[in-house]
Amino acid sequence: MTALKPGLRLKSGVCTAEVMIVKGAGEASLTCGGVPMLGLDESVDGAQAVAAEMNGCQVGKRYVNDDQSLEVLCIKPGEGSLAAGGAPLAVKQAKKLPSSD
Amino acid sequence: MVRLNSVSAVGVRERRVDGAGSHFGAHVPPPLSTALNVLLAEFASLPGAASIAALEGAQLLLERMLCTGGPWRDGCSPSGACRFVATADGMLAVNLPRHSDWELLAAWLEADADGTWSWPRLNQAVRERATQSLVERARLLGLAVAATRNALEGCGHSGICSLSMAHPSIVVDGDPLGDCRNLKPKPGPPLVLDLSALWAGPLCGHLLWLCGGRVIKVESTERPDGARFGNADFHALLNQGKRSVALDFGAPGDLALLRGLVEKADIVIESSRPRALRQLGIKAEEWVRRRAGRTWISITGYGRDGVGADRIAFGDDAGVAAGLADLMRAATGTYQFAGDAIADPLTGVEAARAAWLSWLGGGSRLISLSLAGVAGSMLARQIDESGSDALIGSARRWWRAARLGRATEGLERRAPSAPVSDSGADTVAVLQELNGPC
Repeated sequence: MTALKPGLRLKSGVCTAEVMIVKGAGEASLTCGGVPMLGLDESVDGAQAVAAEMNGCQVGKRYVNDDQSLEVLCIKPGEGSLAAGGAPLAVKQAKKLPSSD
Repeated sequence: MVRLNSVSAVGVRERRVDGAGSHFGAHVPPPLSTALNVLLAEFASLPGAASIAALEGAQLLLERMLCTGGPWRDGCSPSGACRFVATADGMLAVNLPRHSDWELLAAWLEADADGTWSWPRLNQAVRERATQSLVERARLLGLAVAATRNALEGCGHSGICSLSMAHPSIVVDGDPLGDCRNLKPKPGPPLVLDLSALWAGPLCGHLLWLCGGRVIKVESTERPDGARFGNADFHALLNQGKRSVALDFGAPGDLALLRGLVEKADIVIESSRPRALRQLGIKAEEWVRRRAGRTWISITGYGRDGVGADRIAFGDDAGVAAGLADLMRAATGTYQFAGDAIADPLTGVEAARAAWLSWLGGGSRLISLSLAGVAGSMLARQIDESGSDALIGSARRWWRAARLGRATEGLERRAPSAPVSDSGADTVAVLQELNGPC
């Protein structure tokens, strides 16, 4: 379980993916490729990815859980799929362009 | 005493003299209008570009303010979305034009998720933090945040400090633009596909339309050009005469149609991060090589390579990254924006000049323009032209006028001469024309 805090960065234990928590409170078990995600200074040996959870995550996309209480931004792409508490995270719709800049 | 009805004539006569315009009622040119006038003159001298000669730098730099009539506020961009925020060791320009930008602030500043954000809360949260890590975290989140240059001088952070001051248009692939000589008018106009949004890219497409280009504006049905929801007069100026195609970039059928359109174009203009079109399977590098004569105009915040490629910018923050807020501080004693999204109109003109020159010169180029790089290069040109003291003096005069509500005084607002298409109004007609009857 990871204590969620906006701005927290986590990396995948099985691929190159990295995410930043955008929204979330309390605790959640975030996984990538079926394996718990790690703090940037942590490492894990011999983690085995779950083949069914290797559908990739795209840099720049925001991923949310079902009730949108959790939102993460993919800041480095990877082969693993993101999930929280065993449920896959879904891509949130792209940001609208501003009407002026 | 200058009579009121001679105001615009005075403005036109003095357009090449940045220090002029101190008469009552005459127009006080905004920073970099001289450099932009020089650029416009270079552009207008190219075969087929005579219509560019009617444009004035100051008018293009302040065109949106001329349309909105918005007031000048110290320390705030005319759009209202960009402000200066002090860090522990420097000064940031933070640009938050989208609702979704505000949702990312908790993550950017590692703050508790609860509570709503406001500029005072943002000031508070940024005050104790270091500039460089804030810029880096903003890049990761896709927030438009730039540091004033003094704050980052000598920090060794490549891609932030090392802006190209010398070459506004960088030919990434193809022969240098300087090789285009003995240019002659082409038999027919180029087909221009404008995939861009907001200001710089659409202005580039607009200027190519003024030169006779057949311009097709292409938008995603999911994410149309946000400027459609901004000031309508301004949108009309930049997009008049362009035919409009709207496609669902997420649907395979529409994506195939988009790729087909791109294949037909002589000039493509886009203002997305390089990864965006790559993810749609449209690769600029390959497109340029597939058929001779093509020119691809890539407009980014900070370039196509390295960490800069992932970093977004809008016109106001890019101007700050280029050093223009430091110029304004030298002129006024406080950090100020040097116009309205200044990097946008500068980049739009330079992009159009480069595109037209490349097309006349046989094409086969991928040309990269970054908002920050173009603004920095125009600043360097203006210093070269008039010296920094004169530039600082004229910036001070314009700022004083702006504070009195006279930022655009004496400038005439252009009127559109052709209608604007609703998003997708010409999709069927354009596809039939370019692909033949279905």
